[in-house]
Amino acid sequence: MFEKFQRVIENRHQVAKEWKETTGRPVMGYFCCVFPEEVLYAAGILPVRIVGSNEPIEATDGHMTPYGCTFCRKCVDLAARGVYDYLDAVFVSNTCDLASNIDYWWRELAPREDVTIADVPVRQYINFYNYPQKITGKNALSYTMNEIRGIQQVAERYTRTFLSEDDLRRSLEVYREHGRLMRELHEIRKQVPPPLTGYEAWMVEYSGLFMPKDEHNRLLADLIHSLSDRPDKPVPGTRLYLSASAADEVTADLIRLIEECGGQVVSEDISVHSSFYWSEYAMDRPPLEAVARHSLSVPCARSTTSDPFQDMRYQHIRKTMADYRIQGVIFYILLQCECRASEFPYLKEKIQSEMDVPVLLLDGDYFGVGSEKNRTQIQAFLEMIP
Amino acid sequence: MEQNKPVVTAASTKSIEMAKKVWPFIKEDYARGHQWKKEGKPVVWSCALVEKELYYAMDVYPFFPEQFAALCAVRRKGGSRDPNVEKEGVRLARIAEQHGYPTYLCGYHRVGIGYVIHGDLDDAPLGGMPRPDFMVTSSTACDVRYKWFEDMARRLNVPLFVLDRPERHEFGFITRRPEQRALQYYKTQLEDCLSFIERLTGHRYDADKLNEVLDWSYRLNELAQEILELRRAVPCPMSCADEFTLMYPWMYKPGTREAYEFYRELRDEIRDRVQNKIGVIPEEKFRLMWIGLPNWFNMAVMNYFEKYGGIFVRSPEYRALPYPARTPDDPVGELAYRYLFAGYGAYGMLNNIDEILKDVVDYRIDGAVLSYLITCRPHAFRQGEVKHVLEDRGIPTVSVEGDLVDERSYAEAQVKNRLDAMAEMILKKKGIL
Repeated sequence: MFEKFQRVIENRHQVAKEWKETTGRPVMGYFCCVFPEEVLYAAGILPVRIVGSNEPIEATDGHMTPYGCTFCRKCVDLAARGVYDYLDAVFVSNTCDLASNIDYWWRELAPREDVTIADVPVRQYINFYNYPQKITGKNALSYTMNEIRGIQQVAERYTRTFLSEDDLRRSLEVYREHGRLMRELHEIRKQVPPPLTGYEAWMVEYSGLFMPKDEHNRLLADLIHSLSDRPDKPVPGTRLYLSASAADEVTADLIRLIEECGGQVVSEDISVHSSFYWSEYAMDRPPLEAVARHSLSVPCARSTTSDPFQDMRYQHIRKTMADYRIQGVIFYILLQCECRASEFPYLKEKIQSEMDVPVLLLDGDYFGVGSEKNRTQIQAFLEMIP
Repeated sequence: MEQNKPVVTAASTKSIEMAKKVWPFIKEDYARGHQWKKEGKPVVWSCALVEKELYYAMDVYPFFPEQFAALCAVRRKGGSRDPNVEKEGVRLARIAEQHGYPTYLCGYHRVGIGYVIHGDLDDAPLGGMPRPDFMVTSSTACDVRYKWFEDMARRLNVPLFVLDRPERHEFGFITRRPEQRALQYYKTQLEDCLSFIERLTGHRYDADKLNEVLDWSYRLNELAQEILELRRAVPCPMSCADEFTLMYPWMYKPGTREAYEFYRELRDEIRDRVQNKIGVIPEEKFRLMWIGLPNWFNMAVMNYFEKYGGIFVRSPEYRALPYPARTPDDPVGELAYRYLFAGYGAYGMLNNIDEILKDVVDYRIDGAVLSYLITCRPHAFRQGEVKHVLEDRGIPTVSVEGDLVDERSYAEAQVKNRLDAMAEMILKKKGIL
């Protein structure tokens, strides 16, 4: 049932290269769920999320500080080793401190000439999405729309097209359908017990980051249709909410570990994950505005708002826990992930006092999620939940 | 159980007469702020990189938790000089850690949060910071800057405004104008901030008042630039040992007459030293750059090389880029332009490194000490690259690991070994040894 999703994940680079060869169209990599990939899709480009992998870091040691997120270092390491050479362009988003400086290291370690005229860049290999850090307030929308126009320009120059409103609208229809299907899948996980594990749900969602959204929609629709008849339903476990730093296939091993120990992840708040499909597209607005609104709706731990009494992150967690009958919350914070580490004490206090749900904090390096230390802590945590 | 030996740290030795006047200036500033609060006037806790001109134009007294954390890094409880009494910075950081904040978080953050959690705001150096009526922070330079302030504002239940300053990653940012969309956006951020302050304080924004304040900060900046130019002289008239102390009026009081007058006296002193060829040390054998913020608890390291004839002539942390000429008909727009163009903050690694390379030439740098602040991501990120780039150009470097304000991770013996080796290397390279 999940093999097709798993195959895409395991062969994601090959999938992108084959698509590129078959269609003759560009593939572009991007960082972070806030990135408006809908615009690239509208230009017939395949947007793929840049993520890490399980091999040791080789090429970034001595360049990128060890006192920084290993996930980011691993992504750049893959670029430096040529794994991402098939990308026609790269977009770095202004998200967290380390991620927003990846443009420098990528240029240094995986350089490629820009196309210029009289030294003025026409087509740049590395592009920067200057996403605001304050995602609400006066002019956040118009500023973001102007930034997205810059991305549109990159897409148009690489494909030698001019995108019309209809092109964008067609793209939005596909992404809107994707969001609807993902929310439907997530709704199914409210069932007791849910017909899929947390790890399976992760695979479904994650695979969508490496393939055309319309193809993913078809697989997703088929899956949702067949879930109720699934013969090998997963064993029910303690219902858990997971709030975690960047979760690619390396750190998603944590979900598998939790479920091996008897937990069942039924809802999450994870970077490189569900953040981007919680809100619906404002289809009554002009398409570029709808894209910008959607980008600004991502409740990333690094973002802040114009609310003088900040509570965006707790409200998001509360909303995504509601109706899932959560028995426990696990936080997994990658070492050096300052945004999540800063908010954790407050979130823990609120979850425990207002929702009366126990909280476990795990932290560790990117490569160490499956550690025996984590297993022991998870087992002890589950045992204490009635 | 054997008592742990306290870390041996010390303040820097100052060469500049005006540097010796900074501590009284700081004490006076804190005392006035406390008096202001007692009189029921509004106090703001602000991030160090916010445009202070806003506060001085709106009659609000600012305190700066980052500066306060640096103060806690050097002070012991009750002003004690007993090295067995732990520094306030350590005590407050420990309180934060006991409440779930990891040790890898920024030292300023841990000290600031620990201070708020411990609750007695008066029980701190110089009477602490008065309870704020509101807080203002900026998105520039690092994420912690506003996540930390969000946390403090929640705990104290006061409103917070975040000034969202767009990053500038385009190369050659110093020579290029900020993009129009960034300028427009940032101007509205400043306007919003002024409205926020108006609503909370009842004070009306007055463009004439802001213009007056901008005049003072413009002139202060001109003086600061002149001082930076004067420091290129051989022998260097003022080292980083003085610079980091002297940054207080420039960093925290721009827009005030007192800061301008302080720096005018400082400029005159530096001019005099250059004219009379008075250096910090009798015989200057090599010139160094300190790259990164310092370990505030041990500023004595700024004097360390002097016994070898070496001197820290420059740190790129507190540069003073030239402001454009005044445009009094649009003071808010001018402020937006100044800080996007010349403000300390996020302008990408490439520009950061380019600036350092220019300084190496302008200040005739023989070597660099990289302050590897293991809990300050924006500084830690770049040091690996800075090391490569400098050493590729024949400039030796050495890294010193530590925290901004928490001395527990400071390995004194290791630091000294490295600095001694660096001195020997440079002297040999120059044929002096």
